[in-house]
Amino acid sequence: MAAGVALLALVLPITACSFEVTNPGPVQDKFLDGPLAFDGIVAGAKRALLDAHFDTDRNGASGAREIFPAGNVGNKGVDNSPRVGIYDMTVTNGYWSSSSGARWLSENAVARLKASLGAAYATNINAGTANLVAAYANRHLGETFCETVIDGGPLLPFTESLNRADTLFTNALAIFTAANNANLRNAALAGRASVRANLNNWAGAMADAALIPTTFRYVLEYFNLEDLQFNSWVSASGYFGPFRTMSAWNTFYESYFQATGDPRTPWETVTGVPFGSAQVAPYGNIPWYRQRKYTTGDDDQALSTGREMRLLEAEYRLLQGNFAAAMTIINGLRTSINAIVIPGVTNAGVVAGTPLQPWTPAPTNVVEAGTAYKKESGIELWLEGRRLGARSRWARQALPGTLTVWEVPSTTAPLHIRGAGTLLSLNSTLCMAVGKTERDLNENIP
Amino acid sequence: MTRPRLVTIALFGLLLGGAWPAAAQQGGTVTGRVTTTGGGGPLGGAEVSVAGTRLGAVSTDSGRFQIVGIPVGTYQLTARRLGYAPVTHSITVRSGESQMATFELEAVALRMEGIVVTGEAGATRRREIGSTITQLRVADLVKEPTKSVEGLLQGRATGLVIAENAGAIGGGSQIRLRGNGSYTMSNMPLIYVDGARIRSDAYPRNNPNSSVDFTGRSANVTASPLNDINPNDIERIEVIKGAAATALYGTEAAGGVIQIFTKRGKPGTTKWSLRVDQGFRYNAPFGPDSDPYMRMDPWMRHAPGFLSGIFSPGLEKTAKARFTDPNQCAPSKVPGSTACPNFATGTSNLALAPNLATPLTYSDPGTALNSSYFLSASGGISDINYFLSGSTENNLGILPNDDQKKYSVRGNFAFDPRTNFRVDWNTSLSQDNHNQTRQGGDVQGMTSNAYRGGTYISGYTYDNMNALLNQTTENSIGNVTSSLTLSHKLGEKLTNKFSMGLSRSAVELRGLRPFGFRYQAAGALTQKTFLGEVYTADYSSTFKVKLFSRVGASFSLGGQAVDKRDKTIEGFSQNFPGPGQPTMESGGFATAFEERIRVINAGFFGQSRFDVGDRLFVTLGLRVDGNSAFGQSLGLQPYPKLSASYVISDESFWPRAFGSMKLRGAVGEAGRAPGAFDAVRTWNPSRYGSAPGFLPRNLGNDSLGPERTREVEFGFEASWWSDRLTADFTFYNQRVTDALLPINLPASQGGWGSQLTNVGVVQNRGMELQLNADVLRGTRLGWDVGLGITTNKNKLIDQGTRPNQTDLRVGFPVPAVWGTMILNRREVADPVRVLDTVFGANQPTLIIQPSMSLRLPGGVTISGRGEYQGGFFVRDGGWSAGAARTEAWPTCEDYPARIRAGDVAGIEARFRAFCSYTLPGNVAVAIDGNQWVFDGTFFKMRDITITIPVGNLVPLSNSATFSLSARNAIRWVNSDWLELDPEMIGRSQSENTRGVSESMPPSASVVVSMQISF
Repeated sequence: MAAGVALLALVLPITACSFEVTNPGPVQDKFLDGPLAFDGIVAGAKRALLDAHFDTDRNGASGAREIFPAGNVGNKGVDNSPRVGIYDMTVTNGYWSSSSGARWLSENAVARLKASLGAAYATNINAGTANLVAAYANRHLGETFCETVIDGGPLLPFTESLNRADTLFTNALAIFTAANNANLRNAALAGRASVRANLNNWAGAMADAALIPTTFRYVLEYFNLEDLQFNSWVSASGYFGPFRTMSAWNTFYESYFQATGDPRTPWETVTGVPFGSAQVAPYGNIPWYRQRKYTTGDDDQALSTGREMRLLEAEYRLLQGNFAAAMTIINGLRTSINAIVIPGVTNAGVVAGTPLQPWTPAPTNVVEAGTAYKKESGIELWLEGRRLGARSRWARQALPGTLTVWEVPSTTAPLHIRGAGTLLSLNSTLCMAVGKTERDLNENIP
Repeated sequence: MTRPRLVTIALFGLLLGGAWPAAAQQGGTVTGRVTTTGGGGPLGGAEVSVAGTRLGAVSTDSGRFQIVGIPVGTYQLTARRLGYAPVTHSITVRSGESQMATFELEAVALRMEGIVVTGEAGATRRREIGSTITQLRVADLVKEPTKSVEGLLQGRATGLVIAENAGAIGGGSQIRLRGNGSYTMSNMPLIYVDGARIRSDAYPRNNPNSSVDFTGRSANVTASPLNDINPNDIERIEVIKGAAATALYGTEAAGGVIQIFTKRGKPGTTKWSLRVDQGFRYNAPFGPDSDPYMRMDPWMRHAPGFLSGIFSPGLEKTAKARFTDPNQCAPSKVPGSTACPNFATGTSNLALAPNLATPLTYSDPGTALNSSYFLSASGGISDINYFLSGSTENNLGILPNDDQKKYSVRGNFAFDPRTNFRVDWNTSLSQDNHNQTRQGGDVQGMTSNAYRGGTYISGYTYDNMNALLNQTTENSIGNVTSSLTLSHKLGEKLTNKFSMGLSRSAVELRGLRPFGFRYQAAGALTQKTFLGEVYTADYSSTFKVKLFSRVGASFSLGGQAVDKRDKTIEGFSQNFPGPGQPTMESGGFATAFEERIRVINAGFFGQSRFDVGDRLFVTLGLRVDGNSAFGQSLGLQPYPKLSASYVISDESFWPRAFGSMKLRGAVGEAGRAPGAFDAVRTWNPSRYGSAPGFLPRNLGNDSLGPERTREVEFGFEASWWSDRLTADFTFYNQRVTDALLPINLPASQGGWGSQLTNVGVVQNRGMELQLNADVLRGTRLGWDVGLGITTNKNKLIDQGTRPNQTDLRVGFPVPAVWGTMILNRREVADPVRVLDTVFGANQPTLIIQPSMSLRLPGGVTISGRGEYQGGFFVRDGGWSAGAARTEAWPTCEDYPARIRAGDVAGIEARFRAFCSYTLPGNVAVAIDGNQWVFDGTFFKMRDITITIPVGNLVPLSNSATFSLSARNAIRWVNSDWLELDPEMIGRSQSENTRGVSESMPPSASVVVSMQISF
């Protein structure tokens, strides 16, 4: 009897208990459906794009020899294979995951806002920004990866990403035009120009580029609020910090900056910290020439600039064979900025504050001009995550001109260490493979 | 004198005042001695009670007892002790007189008559239970000086594996009962102390939040709640290992249950016990012969005096020899290099070698001394029995910043207001303050920079390395655990028991790089405050009835609710304006994080047990649970059990020559709940600059439920020749259905990563055999030997549509250790590699635990206990991480340079694989990070102890015992193992894998102890 009463006393409360506990912190999906969440949805999409660039750009810069690997692998480092320019599917999972995730999230944001806003979508700045971010995320994929995959579908040519970017830029353009936001409209136009150049739609690219003033700049915004939002290039070259993972040593930019003082490719040595944070065989400890293009954690990284538009205009001239017109544009970009001198760096003959010189000797043909252009593009877009994509485009479109010796795979080039060469593998590539995990998990990829 | 010591003394002062009068009561006195039959010597710990009163005493180690204040009259005096048949004598007590009573207790088959609580609806005789259970009478074991409960349990029981942690002070161990059953959820067992559930998983690690991405900044170990309990407070431990036994605990019990019972006071005068332990830790060589301490020797504390040369051979010599020239780095083991580890063949970077002008002032880091003091008092006054204790510890670890101060106090009170009603209130408070040296993957930690040759600090110099010690890692763990149990008996038929428990842990973790720290001049501070609470309510009622003349039954009903609440607030701050003691607000950049998790699990159970002739027992039970972490579409979950026990040796047909024998079998189910957030689709709050945003966190799963483990086990318990040979055998077969596996999603479908789904089936089976033999049982000599054998085979049976990947592959262990296999490891040849190969299990598949105890004249005892763990593989994440960053890894010796030069004579394939960075002609080699997988098989002498009774040599004492003990002092590892230690686990004891990191290996210890009873 007593036991029965006890059971009743026990069972009744338990069966009546809902066991429902709402733990604070993570936000439940249902809270994202209202207009109050739109700012957060768009901010999240931007953050995902920032995260996509965070590691991908640095590891891409290694294979493109914008930087030389000087330190640890993994977090804030340069991974083993990218050290030698290899981006096969076994090493690109992280880069693909963050880059593809940024595309999905921003396109999801577009869909969510479209479904919620109705007619207001056409003029809503959040909607336009979601389209813009989605477009840049697709451009990043198209410029960085050899192929692409959309929403668990089959492997598609990388141009699919560029085409989606084109469409999304166009959508964003329409919204910003309707909303009368000139700055964001330029961001869409400049992004679309770069995409159309990659798609060999030079007429479209030139039409868009022409509308962008040279001073225009649309950026990926880094912040000092948390370390992962720090500018990636600063994080990876932290003063006295552990992540001295890259160096200007043994790159074209090492001697170029010493010779010219070009403020677009600055680097410095640090007293008492001579080496990067790890050894790289066969060199051993790598002299640490710290980049100074970005100096603080909240330095922004350009996504599109008017100066890039001028470069595209020069590239178009080169493709047309008009090397003189191209050089005029290129040299115009150079002479518009003044040299700097960094103490401790041998800037022999450089006078701070004087304009940079045009390329000398002056190119006399399209090949020489193309060679100068490829250097100038590398200088202008140094450490902006664009070099692999640009070189890939030039290769596809047979842009005349040659690359610097530091950028070409070689085991014999007499660079800093005899016989060491560039440490670039003969199997190095100009694009990254879609990650193995995507291939393993996606039923539509055989 | 420190405040905790004052408190302890005050407590005992109070006790003395209350307890002493009991000794002065009027009446008669009984004194006597308890021994074992056959001249087996004195028997301590026997409870001698006076029937019809609450008077009694417990025999000392010399077997003596005294009961005072017995009212005049005739009484039945009974002596009882677990494992012995009780003996009763009749005595007549006269006023003012003292009577003598001598008891000779005969050992009986413990497995049959012992009382078991854990996993049962109430106190149950062992003969009635159909599943295996391990009972450790800790009061006997702690003569072996043991500083932690984990150390106490290590190597003690079949099916129980306690893996050491890295060699940082305060680090906890990984505990497994019958291997890994889950891939995604915790495999740690539930832990109860006197009926109160405490936290099983590790306390948080002292490191920055992952959102600021410096998670390696730490000593990279975690503390264990189990070690909040003072081993000297423990009376016994019960361990039940699988679902067949844990069904009544329900959803969270698939990993087994460990229940700790602390000491209780016994009626009688106050019995004082004092224990003093003094000892030291040390590390034996753990690297290659050419560099046995892998460059850590200048910063390792060691054994005192000449003992250092014995236990850590070469340590002093290598430490002093390593830095002979203040202007150069230490010899780097790279031929021809006198600069900081630098194997460059060119000139440009050598020219940049640092000019190190710091004068060398080598200082000995000193000895790793450990000491502890424990004092307890127990007894009974009228209706109240008490056990009070206090302890303090002061320990130094191997690394220079490693030190620990621990304090604990306990008060256990039992109150019998009526003969059928009892109230137990047990409370403990503990405080563990320990500082650690950063290591284990912290790139500005000691070990990483030593092993890698100072890559992160621009050179392995004495000065550069010492600068790393200017960081602090402070850990403060305070715990209070309290349980209140009300027990009521209505005759012999109905028992009721209600328990409430609270375990509350307040943890403060602080890591500081001060302003001016050489490698982060502006400084950084991490502060983590964790509050973990576990509330338990437990009720059970058992009704016993005789159904027929030979058939009895008991019916039990009950319920249990557990409410777990974790609150974590973290801060990270860096860039201080100047020197001084910073707080969170001192930094130019500061950010904060908070996490609150609450999980409720509640259920009720019913159980029926039928017995026939007190020899055949059949038990049916069912537990029904709800859990707040279940998906919304999931209802209450049932966990049934069925078991049978048959004491066949009680049958008349059983020949006595066959000894005693119990056959048993059980089948039952238990579960593992998903994580608090796993069922719900959630987004992480994030930021883009100052704008808040949402990032995908968890895809969610509405139908998410618990993993369900069904276990079948059967076996026997037997003894022969008056228990001189005992055997306990169990075969078990666990099948985990609805195993929670991450279904990975293609990145192109969003940033969700994976979706946790009840999709897997895991099998876990093996056998456990424990043999004990009294080889010699004499008056002056005795020799006991024991052997435990455990096998465990674990594999993934099914994972639905999930493809085989990395460590989850159908037909292989969970998790499988996989990687690149070098087929010809020991051949002098180029390596032959097979990519993406499964090596085997990560947890031991064969464990052998030999033990012995030799009793010599005078009561001197020499005991030893070893543990062999084999059949498992471990990934050396430290070496593989180091290899990606340096050629200077000590275990590679001079191989990289030789390989580059084409001189590979005598170099085995494994070293050519692990130490190749470039081939002749400077052809770069892509480093395969998956090849550092090693056979982890090892044997360790867990304990060697000599115990010497010193009788009454200590003034005023009843007895005293001196002991000398060495823990893990002898180690053998298989020839495939090259460095550090195969028992190291990752960054947290809660992780499901073992793996070597860039840490110090676990240390060994030597302790001398004196225990005195008054």
